Amino acid sequence: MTAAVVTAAVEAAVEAAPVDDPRSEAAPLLEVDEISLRFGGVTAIDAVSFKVRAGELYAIIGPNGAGKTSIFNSISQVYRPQSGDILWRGDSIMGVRPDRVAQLGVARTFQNIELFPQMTVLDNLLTGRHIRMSSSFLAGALWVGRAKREELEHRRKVEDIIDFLEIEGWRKHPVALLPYGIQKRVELGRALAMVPELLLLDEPVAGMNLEETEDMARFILDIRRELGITLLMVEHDMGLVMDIADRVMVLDFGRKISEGTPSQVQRDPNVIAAYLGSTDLDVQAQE
Amino acid sequence: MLGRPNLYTSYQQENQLLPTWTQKVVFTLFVAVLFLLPFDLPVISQIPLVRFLGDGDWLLIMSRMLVFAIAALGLNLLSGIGGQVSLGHAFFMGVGACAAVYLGGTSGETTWGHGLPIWVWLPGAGVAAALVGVLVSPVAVRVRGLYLAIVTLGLVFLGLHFGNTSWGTKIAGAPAYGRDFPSLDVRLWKEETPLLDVSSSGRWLWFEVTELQKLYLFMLTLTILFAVVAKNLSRSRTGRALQAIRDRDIAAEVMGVAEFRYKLIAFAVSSFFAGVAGALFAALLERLQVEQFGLFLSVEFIAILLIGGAGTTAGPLIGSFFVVMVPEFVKAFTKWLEAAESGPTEVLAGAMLTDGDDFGIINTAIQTPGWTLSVDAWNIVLFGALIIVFLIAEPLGIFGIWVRIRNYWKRWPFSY
Repeated sequence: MTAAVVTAAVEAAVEAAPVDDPRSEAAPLLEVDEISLRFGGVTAIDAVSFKVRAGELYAIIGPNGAGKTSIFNSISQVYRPQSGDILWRGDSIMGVRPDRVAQLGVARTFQNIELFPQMTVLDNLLTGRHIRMSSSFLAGALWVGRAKREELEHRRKVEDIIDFLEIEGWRKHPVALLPYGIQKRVELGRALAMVPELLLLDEPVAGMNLEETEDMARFILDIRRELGITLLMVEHDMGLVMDIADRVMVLDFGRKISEGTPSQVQRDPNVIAAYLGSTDLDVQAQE
Repeated sequence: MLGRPNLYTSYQQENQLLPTWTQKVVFTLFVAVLFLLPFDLPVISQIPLVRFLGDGDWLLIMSRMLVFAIAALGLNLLSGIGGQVSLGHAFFMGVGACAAVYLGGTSGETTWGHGLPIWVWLPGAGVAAALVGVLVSPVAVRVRGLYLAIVTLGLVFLGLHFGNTSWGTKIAGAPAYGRDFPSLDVRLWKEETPLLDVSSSGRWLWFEVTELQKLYLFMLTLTILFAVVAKNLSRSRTGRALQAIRDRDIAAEVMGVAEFRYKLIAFAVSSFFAGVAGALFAALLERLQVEQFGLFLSVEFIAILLIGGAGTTAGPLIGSFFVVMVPEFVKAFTKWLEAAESGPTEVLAGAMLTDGDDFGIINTAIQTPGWTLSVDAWNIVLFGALIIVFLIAEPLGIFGIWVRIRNYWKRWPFSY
C-alpha cells in the first residue's frame, strides 16, 4: 500500500473511532468458544476462542491453510464443528441451519466469489433482501398486494446500496460478465442488502490491484462508520489489516497463536515465527 | 417517452410485466392474433404457417401444443429456474389426469368416479399432483443433478405400474384401453346444462364457433393464465430464491434462503402445472391412457426446455411450439410435395420423394425399404438432432438466439 492510502485509511479509522470503544468490556456480539473442527484425520480448527464486540473491526490472519475460512464456515454453520460452542448475543447457534443464522443478522462474502452468476446485479442484491421480505409464493405468483408493494419497496432500498457501492452502471448486467473487482463489490452489496449486524468478509481484497484495494478499504470503513455494522475479516493483505483492524487474531495450523491490536500482534515473536519461519525452538516452547 | 423506451422514470414502471410501449403494443397484437387465429379472417388466414397446415386437425394440434406449454412452464419452474432436473414430469401429469378422472369421470362397474364439474376436477388435478410432489420432495431435495434425474425417473415407472394394479385400473381404466375422460364443459354442478359449452359446436356470445375452435380458445386462455403466473413467480421473491439455489446452493443458504422449503415449493408448483396439463391432455384425447404418461413424454419436456431456452418464461412456450409443430410441418410439407403435379414443386418433389429404392430424401412407401427414411422416422431423427444441436450450439435455446438478434439491432450499427 502506498503511503497515501495508509494515511487516508488511518485518518478514516481515527474518524471512525467507535462511539462505544471496542476495547471496552461490552457484551460480545459473537463469542467463539473453544471450537474444534476435524475432517477425518486433519484438524482444521483446534480449540480456537475469540470474541467480537459490537462495532468492532476484528481481523483474522494467518498463513494459507491456517483455518481462517473454516472459522467463517463454522460461524455460518456450513461446517459443523465437533466440539466447542458459538454464541450469538449469548445464545448458542451450534446446529442452527445456515439460513436461520443469516436471519439472526450474520451476512458474509466469500473468498472465491459466490455470486449467482446467471442473475443480474439487481437480482443478486434483491436476493440479499430475501430475509427482509415476507410475501409468500402465492402472493408472488398472483403479483398482488404485499408481493407487489414489497418488490417496489425493496427495489428502492437496493438502489441505496447500488449508490453506496458506486455500481450504478452495472445494474442490469448478468454478474458472470462483470470484471473481478466489480463482482467483489456486488458480493459486498449483496451481504449489505441483508442489513446484517455482523458482516464476515472473507479476503475482500484478494487478487485486487492497488486501486481496487483502496476502493474496498474505503467501502469497509464506510460500512462500519455509516452503517454501524460489526466486521469480522479474513485477509492476507497485511497492509490493509494493520491499517484498519481494531484487533487481530493470528492463526497457524488451526491454532490461535496471537491476539491483540495490530501493533501488539506485529511484535509477537510467535507471529514472526509463523510467518517467517524460525529455527528458534524456544519460541515454540513458550506456547 | 417513445423516443427513449429504456428510460424508466419510476420503479413502478420498471417493475411492470411489459415496461415499454413497444412491448405493450407488440404483445397485445400478438395475443389478439392468437385469439383470432382459428377464424377465417382475411389477413390472419394468409399467415404462411396457418395456410400450410390447412384446415385439417391443426387446431387440435395447436391445442395440444398449448397443453404442452402449460406442462413445460411447470417443468421450467423446477428445472430451468430451480435447477432441479426432473425426468418425472410425465408422472405428475399422469397423477393429475388420474385425479381428474376420479373426480370428474363417471362411476361404473369397473371404474370409480364422482362426476363432478370441471371447476372441481381441473384444480383438483393440479392439487393432487402438487400433494404427490410434496410427498416426493423430501427424498428429492436430498439428491441433486444426475441422481435427482434418476430418482424422478423411478417415479415414472412407479406410475405406470400403478396403472396396472387393481386400484389403478379402477381409476385409470383397463390397461392399454383406458377409460373415457370427462368433457371440458363448464357446469355449475354435475348434470346441469353447461354454462360454457366446449365440447360441441355452437354459439359463444354472438359468434358461431366450432368444437375445435372452442377447444383452442379454451386452451389458449388457460395457457396465458399459467404463463402469467409462471412469469410472476419467477420474478418474485420465490423466483429469485430458486435461481439462487440453482446457481450456488450453499451461498443461497448463507444468504438466508431456506433451501428445503424452496425446493419443496418448486416441486409443488411444478407438479401443479403438470397435473393440470395432464388432465387437459387427457381431455383433448377424450380418453385417459396411463401408458401415455411414460418416459418419452418426460424426455419430450426436457427437449422443449432445451430447445426453447430453460430458465426463461418465453422458452417453454417457444419450445412447445417447436417440438409439437415441427413434425406436423414436416408431414404437411411432405403431403404438399406429394400433391404437386407440375412446375417447380414437382421437380422438388421428384428430387426429395421416393417410394422405392431409388434416391430420395423422404420415403413415402407404406413400408420403408432400404436406407431411406419415412416421414415419421425423419421426425424422430430431427428431434434427436435438434436436441444435440441446441445443447452444443445454443444452450439458451431459441430464446437465446432471439436475445442475440435483439441485442444486435439494439446496438446497430455498432457491434459492441
